[in-house]
Amino acid sequence: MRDFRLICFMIFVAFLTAAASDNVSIREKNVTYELKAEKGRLSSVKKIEETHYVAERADELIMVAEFYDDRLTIDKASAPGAKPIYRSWESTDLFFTGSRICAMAVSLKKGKPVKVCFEQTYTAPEQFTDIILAPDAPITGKATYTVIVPSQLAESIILTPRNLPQGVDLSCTTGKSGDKTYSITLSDQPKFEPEPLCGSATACAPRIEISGYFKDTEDLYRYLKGHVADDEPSSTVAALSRQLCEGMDTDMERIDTVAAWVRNNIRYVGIEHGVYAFRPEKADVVLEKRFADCKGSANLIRAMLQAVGIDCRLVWIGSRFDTTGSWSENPSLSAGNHMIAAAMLPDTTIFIDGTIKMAPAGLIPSAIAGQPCMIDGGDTPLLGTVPEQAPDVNKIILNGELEIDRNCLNGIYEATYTGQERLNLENIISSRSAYARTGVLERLMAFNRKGVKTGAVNLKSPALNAPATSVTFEESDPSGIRVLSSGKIYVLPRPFRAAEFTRINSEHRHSPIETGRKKTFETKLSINIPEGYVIDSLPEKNIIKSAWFEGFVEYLPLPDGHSVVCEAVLRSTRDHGEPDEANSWNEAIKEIEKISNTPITIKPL
Amino acid sequence: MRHHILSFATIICITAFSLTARAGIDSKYYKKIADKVWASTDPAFDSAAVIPDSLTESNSGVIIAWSDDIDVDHEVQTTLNTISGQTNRISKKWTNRIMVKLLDQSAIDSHSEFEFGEKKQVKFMERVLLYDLKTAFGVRVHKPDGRIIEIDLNDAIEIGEGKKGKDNRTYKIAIPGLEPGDVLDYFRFTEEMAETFSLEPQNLVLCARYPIMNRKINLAVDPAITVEYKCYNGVPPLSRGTTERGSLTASLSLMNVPSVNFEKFTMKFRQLPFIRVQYLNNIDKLYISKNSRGGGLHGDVFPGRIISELRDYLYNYEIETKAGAKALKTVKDNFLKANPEASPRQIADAAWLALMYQDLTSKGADTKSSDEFERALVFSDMLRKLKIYPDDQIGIGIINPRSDVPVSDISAWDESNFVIRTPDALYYIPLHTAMSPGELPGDFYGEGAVLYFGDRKTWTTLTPIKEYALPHRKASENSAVFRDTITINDDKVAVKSMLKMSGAVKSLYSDLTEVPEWASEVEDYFDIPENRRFRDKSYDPASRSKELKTMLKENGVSHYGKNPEKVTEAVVKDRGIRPDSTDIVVESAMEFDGLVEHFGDDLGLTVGMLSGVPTRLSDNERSRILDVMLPFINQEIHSMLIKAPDGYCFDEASVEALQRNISDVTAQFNVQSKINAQGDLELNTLLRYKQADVALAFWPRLLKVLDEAAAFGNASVTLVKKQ
Repeated sequence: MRDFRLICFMIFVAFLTAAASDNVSIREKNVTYELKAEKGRLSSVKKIEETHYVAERADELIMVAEFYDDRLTIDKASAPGAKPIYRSWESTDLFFTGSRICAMAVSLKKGKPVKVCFEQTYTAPEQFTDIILAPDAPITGKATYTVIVPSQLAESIILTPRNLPQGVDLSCTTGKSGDKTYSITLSDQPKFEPEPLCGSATACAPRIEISGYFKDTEDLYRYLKGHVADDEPSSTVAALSRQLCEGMDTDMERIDTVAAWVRNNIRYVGIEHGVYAFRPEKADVVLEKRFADCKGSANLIRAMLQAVGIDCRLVWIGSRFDTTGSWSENPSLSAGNHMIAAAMLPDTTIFIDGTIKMAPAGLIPSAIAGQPCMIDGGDTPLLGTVPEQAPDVNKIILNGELEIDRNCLNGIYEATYTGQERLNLENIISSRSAYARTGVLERLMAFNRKGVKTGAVNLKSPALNAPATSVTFEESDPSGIRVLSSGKIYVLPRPFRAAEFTRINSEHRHSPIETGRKKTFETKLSINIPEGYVIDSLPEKNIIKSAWFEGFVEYLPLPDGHSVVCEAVLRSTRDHGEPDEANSWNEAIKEIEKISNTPITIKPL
Repeated sequence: MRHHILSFATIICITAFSLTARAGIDSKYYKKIADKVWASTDPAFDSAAVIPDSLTESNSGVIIAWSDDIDVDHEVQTTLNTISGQTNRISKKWTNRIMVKLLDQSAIDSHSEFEFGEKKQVKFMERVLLYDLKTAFGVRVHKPDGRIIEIDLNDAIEIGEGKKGKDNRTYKIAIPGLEPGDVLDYFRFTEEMAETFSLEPQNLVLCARYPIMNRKINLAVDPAITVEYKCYNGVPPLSRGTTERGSLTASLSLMNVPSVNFEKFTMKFRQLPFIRVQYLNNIDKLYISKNSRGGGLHGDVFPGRIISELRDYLYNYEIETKAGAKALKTVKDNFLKANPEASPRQIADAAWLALMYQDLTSKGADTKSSDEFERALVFSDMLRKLKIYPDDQIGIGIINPRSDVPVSDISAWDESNFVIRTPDALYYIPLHTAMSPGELPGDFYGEGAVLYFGDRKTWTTLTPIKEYALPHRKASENSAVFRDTITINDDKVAVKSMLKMSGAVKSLYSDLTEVPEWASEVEDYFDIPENRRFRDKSYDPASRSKELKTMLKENGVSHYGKNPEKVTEAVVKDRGIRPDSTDIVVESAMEFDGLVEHFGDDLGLTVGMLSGVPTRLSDNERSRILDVMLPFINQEIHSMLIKAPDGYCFDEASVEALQRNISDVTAQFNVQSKINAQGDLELNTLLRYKQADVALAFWPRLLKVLDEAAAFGNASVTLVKKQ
């Protein structure tokens, strides 16, 4: 179900392949989309793209490319002295998409613009959902994008600009015959480069959303629903489900059991060419093959839960970082890219994503949490919203007993991962060959601190859908101790070591900030003071209250005078911010690092 | 002449012969092959074989059996399309079958998807079939309950090229129903035919990341065709025999081959067992064959014979390029006139530079050497014409790096690199932009070489081969030395750095110099007038400067433990390619985040990170079963001057605590620290690898040094706020 969105991304990538260095710029670009109507409905879209590239300082050989497939054809590809080559181009994370690339090596002579021309046709007009305006090279002249909408479609086709650079507007003129011509011009624009923490490149690129092929949400729903075959699962599916759920008293138990079975027994294999972008594989077939994409997994969950008497339905949804808007606001294929299942219980709806291996029972992954969705409602869709992740669902809890010697801060720890943190940890480990797992765990438990030696790691994995996974380990951290000339020792327990956040460049940030998900870090460390030393000073209680985080760090001496307990909580309160909040994000991280790195001071008696 | 010995893989890449592919899976063909493979009664392919716990404990999979069966035939048919009226084909049928038990999800993930169906044909003038490749594939799953599920390849998805996606089709299949505990049994069958030419050599590897319970190799060869094999790194001798139909056979059967799941400090062609097989069509008189041996199966050919063949090719080769003449003119006009007193070594260096310049910058095919082989001959002839050394002291030799088999053990003479030896130096012949005349890439030092001396046209079969050991270099001669001035500005650390690289280390940095930059240095050396200089219109200094900064930013982690946030300056001050200036020098300025910590009023600076020490080796890399082999020995020195920010001074105890010294016969890690008269910190770190070959028994000692160095990565110095 990711396919239609993938096309947009491919177009975006096509731009990116054109030029790698800033020696090449776009002197002029004209892209025209001519929409054609048949019986009052969009029937195809002809795209003509002419780009005048120029090498500013030295000759350069550039590779220009456009992606295509069975529903987006290449009609013409030309550039002086270049011969197009046509190859298949498969995404690395999907098994098969059927996408292909048309590429040309174009030789640019310094200062002489060269016109590159591509003509393409969207033969599946419903998939004309976006125009990406991300230049692959700086635009030193003008880039004009024109969309010609015939009068028959003038009222239905809607263009909505997103993420446009400041001062750039979408204009519209209406011709005598009622045709509408939309136009947007970019001039003197830098090359578009996706920024860190920006979600997907497609979502943060300047673009124009196209809607109106579907009259409304119901029309779109009928289209999607039309791809769902009548699926009467065989007795095998039902038998398996009944066997798994035997003896269970509640629907929630059954839901968790079936979800866990599908997630951990059906391998994710994305086959998304042609109609397979929308058509869920039959439940029987999925069960037999033991692999499927999101649609197949959802369909198997539906069939299995129905077999044990639970009303379960398919759900069309868009993942948070790759799509924008909702099915109702934007009844277009670009509003979705994923399929899950929904168990319709009398008092609530339980959303189940079949693709998240090792997920704790009941976990709603952050990619779909809070996302609007469309539930199979028979003739009409049921519009809804997936619940947000519960507070503190994604946690790393670190408990430890620490000993100080003059060279090292040694510790015995237990790190407990819950929610999505647990899922990520388990997936990292299970994806590695058996011989490499210990090494990977050791590196993970060092939390990116060079010089830290971890050992005796032991992963305690309970049930596949258990709420938490724990890792016990020993650590020796030379950087945890700083002996001063005065005889004092700084002791650095670093209670927020597990909170590894990335700073971002705050200058000229243009994309919204997407941190992925909200997380909570809880730490309780007991630090034993060595014989012959006393506490000189403890950091004061630090309360964290920033635009992004809240929490505290507190050090408490125990009455025996030989140990200190460090308790700390750090909770990210937001996972999304506006571009102009980049600085506050960096400052918030800096504050956390500073507080985490504040030492206990001990001194000789 | 050399193109006559090209094999078919090369021809496919470079010719414009018609390349056709037939569409669709040839079901009959696939079935015929599959029936034959699955009908095998080899008891090693037993899906129910008992696997010892010792193999399942720390592995995700176990290879129950792995076989390579290779049949090589000679095909002669009548044809109207060749001058001789007959074909002269070498054909190879290779069945590669693997039966693997999948123990966990990671094994399933890496065995769940297959691509197959490759086909190729090369025809000359649309008539003569020069090359034909057909493949088949089959896979089945043995379930723990005894069921065997043959995977239907009709479920495979077709991947096509071309505008309509109909050309060069291959197929992709996802294996259904896989579960831990399943045994996957699959084969790949390759049928290859070359008319007149030889086929590409093949390496048959005998170990894998999973343990192998049974490893089998069977070769059967038509006596008319020349097939040579060579066993490396402990492979036992192959059993030889003859089949009823007269084919010559060689076979090997091994049991319980341990898994190899470490890569660090390992040279696979020197340490892991494999067999290299050459498939040679020596019958046709149109082309020069790769060896002088007649048809048959030749095992572990004495290297001297292969080296002798090299002598024959060198003797017979006719130089067609004008590169030598042009390079000689450069030497005479632009070097000897200005340096009439130049020593033979200086003249030879200039000649090497002039020839490299010719070959790197010339656009015409007739004014540059066609390949390394020709370049070696051109250069030796240049030296002879310059009359700076007696003829019998100029040698043409072959050498191999540590990353390949020893030159004394090569299986074909063209598997090596060429070198020219004079009484003063060794001249490396492949094109390279990071070495000065007389330098070799690091992984050649200490290796063996074989040389022929004298004018090649005077050689006879009695001309002796000289075996020679390339010189060793000390670690101190292969250095990367960083002289860094470090200042702390708020939470940022600014580093002004001068990096000087010498010796073998340089060969890793050819990216620092592009051909126009290299040419410009050489033109300065020869004082070539402006109007005769090489011009590359695609060279853009501005883009290049940006690229250099990006290179330093993205590779900072290899020298500083982390990548800098910013590189504000990066200039290559010396490219180390001239005889009078052999070190590479790079000056840069960069900024790091995350190295400054606040301890109340005091500061901590993670200086260990700036010393570029390696990361602690992971669990599987620590427990190895093979000796250590490094490409070369070297040392990395960081000499840092760290300025105390205003209002702060370095805490003496923390400075003292930085000191380290662990020295072993294998390696050394040393840190010296002191506060100088200005109150700044002088910190010097040294990591030196002393031995390129470390016996397994000494691995714990090397590991101890590496661990000590890795632990220094987080070492920090404390800056105390002045009262």
